[in-house]
Amino acid sequence: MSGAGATRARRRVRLPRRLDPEHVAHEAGAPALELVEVGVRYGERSALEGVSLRLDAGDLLAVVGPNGAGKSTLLKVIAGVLSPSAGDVRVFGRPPRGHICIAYVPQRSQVDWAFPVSVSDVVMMGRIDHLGPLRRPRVEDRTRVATALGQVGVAHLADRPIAELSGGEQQRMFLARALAQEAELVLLDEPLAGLDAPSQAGILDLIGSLSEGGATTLVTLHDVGLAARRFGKILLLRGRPIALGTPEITFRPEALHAAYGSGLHLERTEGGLVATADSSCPERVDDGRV
Amino acid sequence: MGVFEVLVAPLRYPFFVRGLLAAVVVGTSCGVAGTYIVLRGMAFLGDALAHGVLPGVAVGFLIGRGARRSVLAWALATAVLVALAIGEVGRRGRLKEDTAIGIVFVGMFALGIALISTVRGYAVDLAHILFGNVLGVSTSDLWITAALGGLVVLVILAFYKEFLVISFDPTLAATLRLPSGLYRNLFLVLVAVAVVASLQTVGAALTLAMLVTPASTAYLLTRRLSRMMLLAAVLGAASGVLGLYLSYYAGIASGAAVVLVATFLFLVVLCVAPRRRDLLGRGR
Repeated sequence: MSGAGATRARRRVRLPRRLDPEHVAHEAGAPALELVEVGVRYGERSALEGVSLRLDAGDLLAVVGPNGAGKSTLLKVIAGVLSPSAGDVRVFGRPPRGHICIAYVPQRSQVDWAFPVSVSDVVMMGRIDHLGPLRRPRVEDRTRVATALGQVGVAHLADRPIAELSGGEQQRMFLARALAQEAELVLLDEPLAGLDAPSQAGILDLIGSLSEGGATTLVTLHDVGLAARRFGKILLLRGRPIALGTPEITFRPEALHAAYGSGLHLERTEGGLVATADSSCPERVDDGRV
Repeated sequence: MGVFEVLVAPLRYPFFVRGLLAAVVVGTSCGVAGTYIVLRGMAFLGDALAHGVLPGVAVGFLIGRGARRSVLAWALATAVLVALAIGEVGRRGRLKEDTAIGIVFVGMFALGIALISTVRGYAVDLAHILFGNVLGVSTSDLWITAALGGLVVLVILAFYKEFLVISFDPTLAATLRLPSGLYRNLFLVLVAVAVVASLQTVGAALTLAMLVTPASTAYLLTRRLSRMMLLAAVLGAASGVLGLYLSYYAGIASGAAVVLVATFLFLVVLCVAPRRRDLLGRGR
C-alpha cells in the first residue's frame, strides 16, 4: 500500500464530526491499550511499521529511540490524532477516536507559551468534554482543577500566566490537566526534555503515582540511561519495534546497536544502569516535530 | 471652547451620533474577533476577507441601485463564501496557505474593482466602499450594524472555551474530538460578519486595522485572554469615538481618523508597556 491508502487515511481524519461528542463506552475485559501491526506512512515515507503492543490498566511504558524513530508518531496514533495506515489500535477495546479518557501531553517546545492564559485555564481545558458545548465550568469542575493542581504541587501557581512558568512547572501543569481530565490513558511526549535533574526526578515521581493511580501511561524518552534506571518496561523503537521488555532485555548491546548504531553502551554501575557513548554527542536533546 | 463644549458640539448632528454608535459597535466586535486573529497569527486572512468582499459589495450596489441593505446582504454572502473558500483551499491545496489566501484575495479584489468600474462616477462610490463613510450611516444601517456586531460578540463568547482550546492546543482539541474544522469555519464566518459590519465605518481597505490593532494593543497589556478580549473591545470602541471627533475637528476622512487613533494608542502602549507585559496582569 502506498500513496492512495495514505491519502484515504488523511481524508478520514478531516471528516466533520458531530458537535457534541459522545463518550465511547469501554469494552469489559479489554486491555487498556492494544496495537496490532500498526504502521504510519507520510506519503511514500514510512514513519512507523509493525508495532504490536498490549498494555493493561495501570501499566507504565517508556518508549525510547533516536530522533525520527517514530516515538511522537506512535503517541499520536494512540491518541487518535493520526490515523494508522496499517494495523489496528484499540483503547479499552474500541478505536481511539471518541475516548475522552485519553490525555495527550505535547512536547513543551510545541506549545505557545506566550498565549495569554493562566495555569488553571489550561488545566480547565481538560474538563471541556465533561462540560459539553455552551456550558460554563461548574463547581465540580473548579474543584477538580484545584485538586489536580494540588496533586502535582503547583496549587500556588493557579492564577499565574503560563509565560512565567519554569520548565518543570510547565510539565506539572500538563500532568494536572491529565488528572483533571480523569484520563485513563496518559501519553507524554518527551516530558523530561530540557529539564534539570531535580525537576526530572519530580516529574518521574508524578508519572509513577499517575500509573499507580490506575492510569495506563506511555512516556517517550531519548535518554536511554534514564529509561533504564526509572522504567520497568521499555519499548525500543527505530521506525519499527526493536525490543520490548525490561531494561535488561530491551537494552542488550545488539538491540542498542540496531537502534542507535554503534557508539552507545549500557553499563551496570553502582548507581544502576548508565548509558555511555563512544562519541561525545550521540543524541540530541530535542526530538523535533513529527 | 471648553472640553465639555468640544465633546458636545458635534452631538447636535444626528448623523454624528449615529456614526458614533456605529463606530462603537464596530470597534467592540472587531476587537473581540481580532483577539483570536492576533493570537493565531491570522492577520493576512483577516485582510483577505476584508478585501474579498468587494465583488459582493459591487454586485449588491448594481442590483440594488445603491440601496444599502442590498449592498450589505451581498457583501455578507460574499464574505462568508470567501471565508469558506480560503479554508477549503488551505485544507486541500498543495500550496502554502498564505499563497492560497493571496490568490483568492487579490482575484476577488480585482473582480470587485472591475464590477464597480462599470458604473459611471464610480470613483466616489469606490472611495466610500474602500474607506468607509461612517457619517452617512442611516438609522436602519445602524440597526443592521448593531445586529451583526452583536452576533459576532455573542457567538464568540458562547464558544469561548472551544475557541480557546482550538487556538492554544489543537492536539488536545483533536484528542477530545472537538470538531476543529467546524469551529475554524465558524470563526472565519464570524470574522466575515465583523468585516461587513465595519465596511461602512472604516471601509474594506482599513478594516484589518480594526481587527488587528486594538487586539494587539491589548495583547501588550495583559496575559489573560478574557482581559485581552475586554481590553481589545474597549480600545476598539475608544478608537472609534476618538477617531470621529478627530475627523470632525481636523476635517479628515473618518475611517482614516479612526484607524490613526487605534494606531496611535498601539504605539503609545508599545513604548510605555514594560517588556514583561504585565501592566494589568499583576492580580495574582
